[in-house]
Amino acid sequence: MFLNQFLFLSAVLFCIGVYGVLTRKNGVLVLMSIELILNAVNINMVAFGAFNADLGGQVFALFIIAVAAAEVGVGLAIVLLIYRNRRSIDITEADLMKG
Amino acid sequence: MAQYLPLAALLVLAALFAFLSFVGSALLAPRRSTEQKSAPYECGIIPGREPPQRFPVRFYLVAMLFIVFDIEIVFLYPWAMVHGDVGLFGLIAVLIFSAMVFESFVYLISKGALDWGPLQINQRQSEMVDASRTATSTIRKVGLEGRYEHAPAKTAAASASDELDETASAA
Amino acid sequence: MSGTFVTLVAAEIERPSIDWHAIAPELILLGGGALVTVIDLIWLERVRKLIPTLTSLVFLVALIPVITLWADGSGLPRGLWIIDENVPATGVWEGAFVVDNYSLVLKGLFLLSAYVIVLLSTNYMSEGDYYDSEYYQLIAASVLGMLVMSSSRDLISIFVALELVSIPAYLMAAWRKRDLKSNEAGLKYMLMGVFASAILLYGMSLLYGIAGSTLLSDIAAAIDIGESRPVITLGIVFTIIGFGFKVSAVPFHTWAPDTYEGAPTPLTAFLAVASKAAGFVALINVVIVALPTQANVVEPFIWVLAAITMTVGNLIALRQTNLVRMLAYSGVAQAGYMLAPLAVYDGISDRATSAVVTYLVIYAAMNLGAFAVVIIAARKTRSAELSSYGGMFNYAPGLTLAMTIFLFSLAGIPPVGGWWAKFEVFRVLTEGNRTSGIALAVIAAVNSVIAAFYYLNIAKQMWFLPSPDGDNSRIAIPPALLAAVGLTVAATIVSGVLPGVVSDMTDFVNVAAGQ
Repeated sequence: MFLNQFLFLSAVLFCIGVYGVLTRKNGVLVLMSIELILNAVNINMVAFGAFNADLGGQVFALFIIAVAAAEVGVGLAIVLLIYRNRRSIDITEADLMKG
Repeated sequence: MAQYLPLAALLVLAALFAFLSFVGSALLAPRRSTEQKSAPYECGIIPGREPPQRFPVRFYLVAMLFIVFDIEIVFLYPWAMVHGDVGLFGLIAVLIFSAMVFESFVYLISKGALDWGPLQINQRQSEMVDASRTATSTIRKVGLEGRYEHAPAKTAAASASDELDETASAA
Repeated sequence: MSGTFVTLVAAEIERPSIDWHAIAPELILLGGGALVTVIDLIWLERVRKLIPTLTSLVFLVALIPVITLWADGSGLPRGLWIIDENVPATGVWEGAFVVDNYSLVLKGLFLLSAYVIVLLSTNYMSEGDYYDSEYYQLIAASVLGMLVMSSSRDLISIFVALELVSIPAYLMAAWRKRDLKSNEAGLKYMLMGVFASAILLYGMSLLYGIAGSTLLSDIAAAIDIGESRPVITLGIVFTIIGFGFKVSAVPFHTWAPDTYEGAPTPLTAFLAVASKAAGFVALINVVIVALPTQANVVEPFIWVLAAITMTVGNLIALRQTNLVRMLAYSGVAQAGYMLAPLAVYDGISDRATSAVVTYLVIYAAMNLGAFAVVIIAARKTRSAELSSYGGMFNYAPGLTLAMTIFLFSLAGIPPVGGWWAKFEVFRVLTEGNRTSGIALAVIAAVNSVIAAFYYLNIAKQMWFLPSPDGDNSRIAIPPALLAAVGLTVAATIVSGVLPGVVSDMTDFVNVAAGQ
């Protein structure tokens, strides 16, 4: 079983995702970066599940896919709301409150 | 603290890598930049922020709804694989699940989320209605400070009407 | 691969007998929430005035099985399935859902807080021409997630419950969709929350990989290897960081003040009390059940989090001029006190759990009360600025007295509730005379003094200073808000004068792991 390769791929995806979340200004791109992290988790789950011959990992991955869709649905709705009111999805411009 | 040693080592490595990359590019990269070169390519006034991109609002909404329902169906596949083994118990469980998903579908239709065409729900009755208008911000006592604190939001109301134009042109 | 899959699922699946009594609170809330949605869909505007009442009724009805389960305490802990010697174990979800004293106390807490929050929201959420029926359906969904959370003993159910709590909350934070501040509150909360879930999941995937099982008790058994391994440490650190976002621990608190200020105030109360409690419940479940043998990894990390959370929260709260923002930062600081017992849980996990739960219960009462007073005062002053509270004693003496009780309780001054919560925390910290515990107790004590300063400053404003615009007309308080203030005042006073009432409930032995 080539577990290490899967874990390495997932770690790389995770890092790219975290980098994207921290540096991107566009709300939609931040959501896409979060999707990358979640897919890294899915790879981990399925790889570990196959390695340990346990079904739990695959079940967990299914739940993550479904919940991620709900999260992104809500996330896009909120980004759209911001766009409607401000004509911009640049999240660094959302700075009405400080302190 | 031995249990945190690998993490600390990783952090130091990451910091070192970032530091070296910055120093390396600062030392090695050629610098032949002029002011004209770094200016954004746009005529007229100097832009204050990123130029607004085209953002097809209606399509995003429908795609979003589609994805949610699409993914919920993922739970039916495992059941389909073993429906013979789980029998009536599994069937009832799946029916309850489907009823819940179906309820939200009915909800969507009744709220007009799938109505195409010109926007009807989101249209404001009048341009006099401020974007951030609530009872809290509208009713106020005479003679208090901060009468105009909601003034900047007016631009939002103005821009909302632009959006309608854009959606129309996109369609 | 596919061979494994087929052999695993081809195992005999018997129809398990479900313990309906044990999951009755969740089922009632699920059915009730769906019913409210259908009623709203069919009759729309005609039943709009009834929806808040219906929702609060659902919460109260769901409380009945919680009480009967508590009274029938002999059978606890119970699971989702009735364990029968004759029927072979199914192996599906077994031990993932456990009803014990601990989860029952928390279910009661969540349902009662949700009831008070519906009282606070009535009339408030529809202001500005918003259709508010959806808000109550979202609250019901979020509370359902909390109930499931308190019984979850499995990574999958903890994750699903956490998301069920959070996703409706993102929507509710952005409730005033034409108000830029509310939009911003929702955006910040959603981005940070989703990011936190992703980090949490990565940590969970590592823990799952080591143990080969998502069940917390299996994980505990698998990582009890007597040595430290980097991958275990990494998994634990990521998991705790994920929960740190949810309970707004410094440095993962950046969303909290903006979201609290921008969101509608009843929702702020919901986030500050119920949603935060759900995060703590998840943290307790994972730390106490899955990581009892990894104290050398968990304790230093939580120690640092607790210390900086209470210090930074209090220092920033000192210089706030907006009361809602101040309460937000004070909530961050209070989260530090609640984390503290978990920094010394090794060997005394039952005492640490009971201290955290005691704190959660008393904190819910006093903080909900404080937000109720803020909502009532805003009906007259239209502002949450600190200066607008001047002279309140002149025109609303009863309200001022109630707020003073809540502030004294938040500051930890006897005889009202908060002192008992702090006392329990200090007792756990000093137990066993460990240097780390006593150092944290000293930090917490210094922080209590700093906190008392800004809490009492609000009281001073209300009692002694004149009102800013000389307007001393009385405030009309609707009955729902009056009931909310009455309930929370009673709970705050009783928990302080008769701490036995709270400690009798929270003095359970331990968080039961799944069978």
